[in-house]
Amino acid sequence: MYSEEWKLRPIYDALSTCSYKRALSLCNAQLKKDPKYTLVKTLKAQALARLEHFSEAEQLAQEVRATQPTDVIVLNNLAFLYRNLDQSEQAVAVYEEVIPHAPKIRLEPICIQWFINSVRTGQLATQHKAALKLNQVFKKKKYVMWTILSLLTQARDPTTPSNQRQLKLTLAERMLQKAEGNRDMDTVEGLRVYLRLLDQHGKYTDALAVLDQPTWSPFLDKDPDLFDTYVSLLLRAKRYETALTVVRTKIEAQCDDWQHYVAYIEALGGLVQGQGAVCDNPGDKDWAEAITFLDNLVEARGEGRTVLLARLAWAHLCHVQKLVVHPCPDVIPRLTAYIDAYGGRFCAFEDVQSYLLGLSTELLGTYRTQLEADLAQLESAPASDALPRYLNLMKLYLCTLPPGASQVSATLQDVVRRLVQYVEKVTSMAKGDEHAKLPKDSNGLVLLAAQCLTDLFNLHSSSPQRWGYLTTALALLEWGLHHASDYFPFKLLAIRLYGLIGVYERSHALYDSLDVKNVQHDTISYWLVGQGRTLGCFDQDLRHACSALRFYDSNEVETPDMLVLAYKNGTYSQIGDFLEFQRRVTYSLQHHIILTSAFRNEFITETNLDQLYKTVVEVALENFPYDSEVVDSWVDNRDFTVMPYPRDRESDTLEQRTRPTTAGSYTECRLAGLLIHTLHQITVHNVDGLDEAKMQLAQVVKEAAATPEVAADTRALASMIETMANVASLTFREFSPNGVATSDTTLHQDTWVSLVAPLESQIQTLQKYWDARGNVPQSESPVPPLHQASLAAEMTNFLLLFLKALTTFRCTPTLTTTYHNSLTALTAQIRDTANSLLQWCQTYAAHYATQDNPLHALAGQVQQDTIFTSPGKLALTKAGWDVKANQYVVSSWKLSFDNLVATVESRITMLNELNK
Amino acid sequence: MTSIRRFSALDLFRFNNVNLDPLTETYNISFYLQYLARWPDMFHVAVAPNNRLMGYMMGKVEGQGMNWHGHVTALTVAPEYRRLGLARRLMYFLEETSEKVYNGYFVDLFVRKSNDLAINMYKKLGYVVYRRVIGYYATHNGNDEDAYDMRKSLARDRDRISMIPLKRPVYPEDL
Repeated sequence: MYSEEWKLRPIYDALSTCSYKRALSLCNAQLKKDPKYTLVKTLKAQALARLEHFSEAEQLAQEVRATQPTDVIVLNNLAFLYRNLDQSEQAVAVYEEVIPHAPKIRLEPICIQWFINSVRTGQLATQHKAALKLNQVFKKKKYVMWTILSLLTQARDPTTPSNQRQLKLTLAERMLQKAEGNRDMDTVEGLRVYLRLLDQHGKYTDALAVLDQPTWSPFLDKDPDLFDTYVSLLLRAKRYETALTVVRTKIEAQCDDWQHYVAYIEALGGLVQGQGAVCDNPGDKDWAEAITFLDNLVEARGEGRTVLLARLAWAHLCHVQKLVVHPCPDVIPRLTAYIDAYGGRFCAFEDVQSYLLGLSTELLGTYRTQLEADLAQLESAPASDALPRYLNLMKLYLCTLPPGASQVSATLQDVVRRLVQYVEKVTSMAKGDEHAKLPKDSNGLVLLAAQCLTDLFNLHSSSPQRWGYLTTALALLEWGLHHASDYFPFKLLAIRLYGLIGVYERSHALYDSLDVKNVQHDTISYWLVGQGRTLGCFDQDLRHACSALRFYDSNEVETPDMLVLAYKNGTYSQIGDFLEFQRRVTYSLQHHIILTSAFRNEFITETNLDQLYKTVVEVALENFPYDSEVVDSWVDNRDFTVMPYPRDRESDTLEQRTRPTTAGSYTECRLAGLLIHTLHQITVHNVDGLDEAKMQLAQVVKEAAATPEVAADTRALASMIETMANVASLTFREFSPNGVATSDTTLHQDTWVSLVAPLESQIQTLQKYWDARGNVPQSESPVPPLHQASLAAEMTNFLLLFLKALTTFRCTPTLTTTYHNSLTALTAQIRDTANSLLQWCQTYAAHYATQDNPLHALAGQVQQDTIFTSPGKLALTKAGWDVKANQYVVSSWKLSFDNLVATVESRITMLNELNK
Repeated sequence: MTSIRRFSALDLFRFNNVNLDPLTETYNISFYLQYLARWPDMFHVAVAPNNRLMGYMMGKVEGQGMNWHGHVTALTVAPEYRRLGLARRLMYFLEETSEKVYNGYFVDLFVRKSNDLAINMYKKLGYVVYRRVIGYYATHNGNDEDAYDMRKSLARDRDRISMIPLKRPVYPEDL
């Protein structure tokens, strides 16, 4: 063995360092000495595959397989080769086929590898077969669990036929029951799987019966998670009294875990509801004492956070569920008691926020008045250590504001002013020290003020003064970042706000500083990816998209390996979660959004006409499905909780209102996929495929019209591509040699005119729009219309592709001249439009990207003086906000316009090429 | 107001409010899943009443003989939940598991030498600086930083031998 390792080490080293030619030559040298050395042959096959000599590699592998090797190392090498060749079925078959010939001593390791490779490659049926074999032949406890988990995995897999799923679940449950009864389930990990299954099937009593057995009950004391499962089962089984007793024991034993208090309250609520009647004589009811238990705890232990919050939670439950109890608790006094005691902790607002839900307007109004008084009192003597309390009170105050009321705007402005001035007062800025540092605890106040200004920006969406709110919010955020450059909530909001004023460079830099990586690409990349494309920064957006896409590749390799590890270590309770994690990443909605964005960016950044065409001809259509069944099965893993705002409502959050134009909805994904399919069918002149795509497109466009979830730019592109598809489809029919062609030129000229008329009309609309903007009108927004320009550049690109498709189409020879004349005219028209767009970009670039003080124009009537005091404003100026921000704005707008000009210029060059 | 439970692979989709903090590293998938597959009882998360993640702690058991111990790989709390004693509670879970489930001799952890705040917190929890590890935190620009290897004995180490500080610093390769 040692000698073999010594001989083969150079080959392994060469393979692991990617020196495949060297590995090949070392293998050949070994094989010269020993031509039947199967292990070396498998290594040689790997080297050949890496050198892309695929058929030779496969041939060599087949040669080895023909010898029916039973050495597990040889088999592992073969499996590795097949996995690299993307032949996962073969990677498993290599083990299965040798089992009948394997000597008994080698059978177990071969079967284990058979099982492991099935898990790794996701072949569930084979995985089950391998587990069954191991279980039958070797009868070890872990193989029982492997078999059960294989059944469960199949039962939960959507590709398993539905009639078999229930069967497999039942079988798994019976096996688990038997394993538990036979003591084959020797670890708590197996028990967890069993309990979870019973829980999912609603068999709470059965699950509790298992836990009550002497084998497992001792674990309830040792294993906190098992205890939580036990309590949860008691509650689901409505065994409230037992639940109450067991969690009470924990609480009395000084355990301060919140889940015990939550369980206590749920059990108590269940008991009270179960009685279903007014309790006029609490002494007769067991739960009367239980109700006062929480109050007694306050007396016994003092006003601990958990106890006070539990009392509030109980009062809230009684209020919203209209429980009639004695003594009847009031929500507001308990809320006040909690905030009085713990309002100085940053998390106090989050602790109580949910207990404001379901309260009447009247109650909220009363509480708001109380908060006003508390805030005024704090404002009368500002102090650094009161910053968290002030912030919590202000957040609660915002929560109590009625949604959409007309006076909200004035209140929000007042809140901003008060927040900023409070911060100013607790620093020495108020004394004129413009270099004073912001206290660390003030970050939350600055952020909240910026959020309120963003809220005002949305409330005033049709007023020019909205930009003033936005720039003031940005001033605050930059001021905050100047003092706390690591505080990520500042960055998150600033990225969005800079996006809204078209300043991609700063957004991009702030996003980079967040150091988003690995799984965060799936959950948080939506914060920026796609923004660049709408602001003319196609290259930069493409780079972000490509970097995010790498994560999805790693999921394909790493997660299956970790599944194998969980099986090997017997951590069975993790397997369900790992599979769900894998599924959610594999079918991630964000993955497809990034793919589409990357394709659109790749497409528009291409400067070679043939390559541009090839991009669409060779596009991997399977990456862009549009079928609703497929798209609706994708999972939205985006984390929308990273920027909470007190006035957020479930369907209307600040995060949603600050998104860039791409909404990233399921409908939009379907539409984007369909656009790519349609373009592809146009470029390959596939009439049948195009008709199918057209039909689908019309349907999805209709659906998209009914939903606000589709971004305006995608909608506009869809409309243009729908017209293109109609023209292309009819053209390919009418002018094809096999079409309805006659020698009547006039007829076909008429036909052509009618075909392209809708498209020409769209082009003319575009052209008129750009012509009319030859000069920047006085009334133009202070924010450049980069979204429109980026969309127009994309449209020009699609028109270019369309023309190329028509140019490469071979029309019937009798009509060649007519066809080409018409095409030339259309090309000229598109070129004119592109030239207008170019001129427009240049004119607007000259207007926007050369300003000295764009912030001044943006600020408009909303002067920062109304928010900051003079020393505060001075501090802001000293922090260099206005100078730096003006630089960010001008430099970024310039970058966007430069990109757009270069993009349109290259489209014009390609249009000229097309004419030749 | 904290519920502490085992970390789940699905928590990786929602730990941004903790991990966007610059001092918290976001590792690749296999790093987290490996810990879950090997030591699920040493990986706990603290959850707020509104179900938001507050912080988490991942650990493992390793070593041989008298060196068999629990190790804190990562302990992190989101900025808004600091100063609530959360780190202390999470550490308690790991110490309990290291002692009662794995019967380890001690728990150890590495901390940046410059991180006074953390060092003082661990000292309050009963940890001592066992040794200094030179250049443990390597950086691309060569500004490597030393680490303190801090330890706390568990019941099995009755004489607290594992906590007797080394007189000389060590290098990462000596660990």
